[in-house]
Amino acid sequence: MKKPTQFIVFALLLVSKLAFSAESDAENKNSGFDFNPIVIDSKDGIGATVGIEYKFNGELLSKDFDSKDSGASFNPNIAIGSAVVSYSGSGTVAVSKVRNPKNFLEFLLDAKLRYSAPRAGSVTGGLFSKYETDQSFSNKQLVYGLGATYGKYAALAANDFVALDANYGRVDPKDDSERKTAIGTTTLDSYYRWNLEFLYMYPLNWKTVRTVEFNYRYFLENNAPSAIKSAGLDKHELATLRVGLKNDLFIAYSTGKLPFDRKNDNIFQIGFSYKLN
Amino acid sequence: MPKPKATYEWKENNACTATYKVLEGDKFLDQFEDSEISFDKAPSVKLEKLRYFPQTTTNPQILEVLSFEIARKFITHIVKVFTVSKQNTATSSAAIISSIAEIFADGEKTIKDLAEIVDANIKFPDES
Repeated sequence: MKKPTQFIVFALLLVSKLAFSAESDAENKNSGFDFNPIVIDSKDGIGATVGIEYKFNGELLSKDFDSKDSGASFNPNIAIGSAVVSYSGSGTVAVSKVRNPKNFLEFLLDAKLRYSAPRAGSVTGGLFSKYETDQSFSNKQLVYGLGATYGKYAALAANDFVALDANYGRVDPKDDSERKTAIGTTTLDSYYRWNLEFLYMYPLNWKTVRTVEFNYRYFLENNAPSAIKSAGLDKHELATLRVGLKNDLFIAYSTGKLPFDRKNDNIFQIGFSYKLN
Repeated sequence: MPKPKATYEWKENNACTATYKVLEGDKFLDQFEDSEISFDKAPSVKLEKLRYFPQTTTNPQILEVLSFEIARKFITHIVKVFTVSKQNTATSSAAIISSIAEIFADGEKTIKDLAEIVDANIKFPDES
């Protein structure tokens, strides 16, 4: 798609989102699908494209195991525990899918326990099942296993936040063209994989810069065959630095790739953040 | 757990002013500047616009632990500033913090939604 056409599509996406957002502000605020129009530019020569980032989530079941303090007195330092079954999905869909360097869509279902205590932080852990694919659904796989997440607010400074999410699971590839090519076969065996995500957020009180965020995701295949290692498919990593500016503007820089992403890449993103109710 | 009323009015009562001051104050959560979001403009501001809400990840597990952490911090600041008690003695403190965390986890919720859940669960001096 030529650049002028891309800008027209981006403008239409933005205007339609603003119109939709303004209309739905007056109605129900409880629905759970969000999207952001974005321009994605990569440095590998495949060119820029416009698209949307989307996400959704919700809880199916929840059971509390909290401490039951009685009386009128409120205790902010009480421990919290519960069991939850939840779902979620996220990804980036581009107008030109061959130019989408963030070509990785996820849909998750999990059952977990969560616990939160003052000073110690909050943790969740349990079973998960995840469906991963690319925008065209030509590459897809099912992942299931165990996971745990820890987070702490005001960890290193007042009002900063640090979190680590770790998962270990079995991957059942339904179709993976790169993997098939690397191994030289038409059938794919299951394998085990680590998946780590780290997040650090630091709020700034500057005139134009409001927040700085660093996100790092790492995927590592356990005991990967030498052909997979040679093809560089045994591990994937993506680091993103995002600077939040005034008026919902942002600048983001990403380096690396996730499973099914096109190639190792440096990605610049500039955009607005809006939400669809 | 007391359910909030169908329509909640944003006004200068303890619940709304406590919510605004704890979110805005430099000594508290410092989520925005009062020069940009005044008390009158605050009720319609979505929580995803505040500084605590992550933009580089959509990981629901991370958002979940974050919401519990900031909810506890938020209510701890309120307790330090105001003499409060539970609206309903049968409701546990943990259930109240969880209900506030649920609001913080949903970026579509507004500052008014947060004040509403605070008012529904926490009794302030102006209500005694």
